[in-house]
Amino acid sequence: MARAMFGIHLPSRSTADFGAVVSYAKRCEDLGFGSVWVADHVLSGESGGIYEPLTALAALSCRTEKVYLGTSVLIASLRNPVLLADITGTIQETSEERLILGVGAGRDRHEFESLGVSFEERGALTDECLEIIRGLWKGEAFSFKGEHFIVKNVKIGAPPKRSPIDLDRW
Amino acid sequence: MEEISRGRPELSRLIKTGDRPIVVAHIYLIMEDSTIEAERSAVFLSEQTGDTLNKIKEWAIVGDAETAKERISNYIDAGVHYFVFSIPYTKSYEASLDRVARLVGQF
Repeated sequence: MARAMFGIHLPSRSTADFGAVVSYAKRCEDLGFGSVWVADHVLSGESGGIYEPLTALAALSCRTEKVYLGTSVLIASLRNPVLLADITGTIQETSEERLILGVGAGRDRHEFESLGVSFEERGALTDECLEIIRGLWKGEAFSFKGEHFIVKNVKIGAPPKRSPIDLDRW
Repeated sequence: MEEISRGRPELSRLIKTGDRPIVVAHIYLIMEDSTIEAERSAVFLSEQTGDTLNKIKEWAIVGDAETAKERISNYIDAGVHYFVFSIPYTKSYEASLDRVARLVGQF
């Protein structure tokens, strides 16, 4: 039987100094946890906001050495998939291949409306996003035609040498 | 300190081979020295979600170390081998991390 692996979801609240988030991540690493994770909420809620997850993980990738870095979960459909592929490819490089991309469809209608993205179509948008991201991660010219996105012969600037782990059924 | 992340080699293997699926459980873990203390700490979840304590206990682990160990074992027996824990963000957050590290070190 495979051994269990344990990670910690970090409190990445923007009301706290980001140094605290770094400190907790390093502490988790020192304690031997296998992964640290951050959430994704673009807008501030009743209890405040959190740091943008991919930017936070990019920073943590340079301040940690071993621990895997994950999103739990990133609302992929709120972001352009080509840009998302390039950003995650970059983090995969800066982290030396420690990125885990956890993706969810999202549940906050207000966030979707604020960013001009259809809440009702978030599932289909997420599916297309993932197909594009996975295609672009391969580092070759990629084309895709879906209901929501059209990508023609695109090659991102920072394809990962090895694709991040992506968890698409969270 | 002993490496808790014993699953790391396996995770690396999964990256190389592309095996699927990876099943990950993201769970609220509220663990204190006693179950009564843990239940007291879980009040904030009740305020956030509107769920009763008994309802919270269905989707979160609330209790002492023994309770937590038993619940995690149940997940492992069910085939879950990757866990992400959310723990309450309090002034003693780092002490909580230490406590959880001691717990998972038993697996």
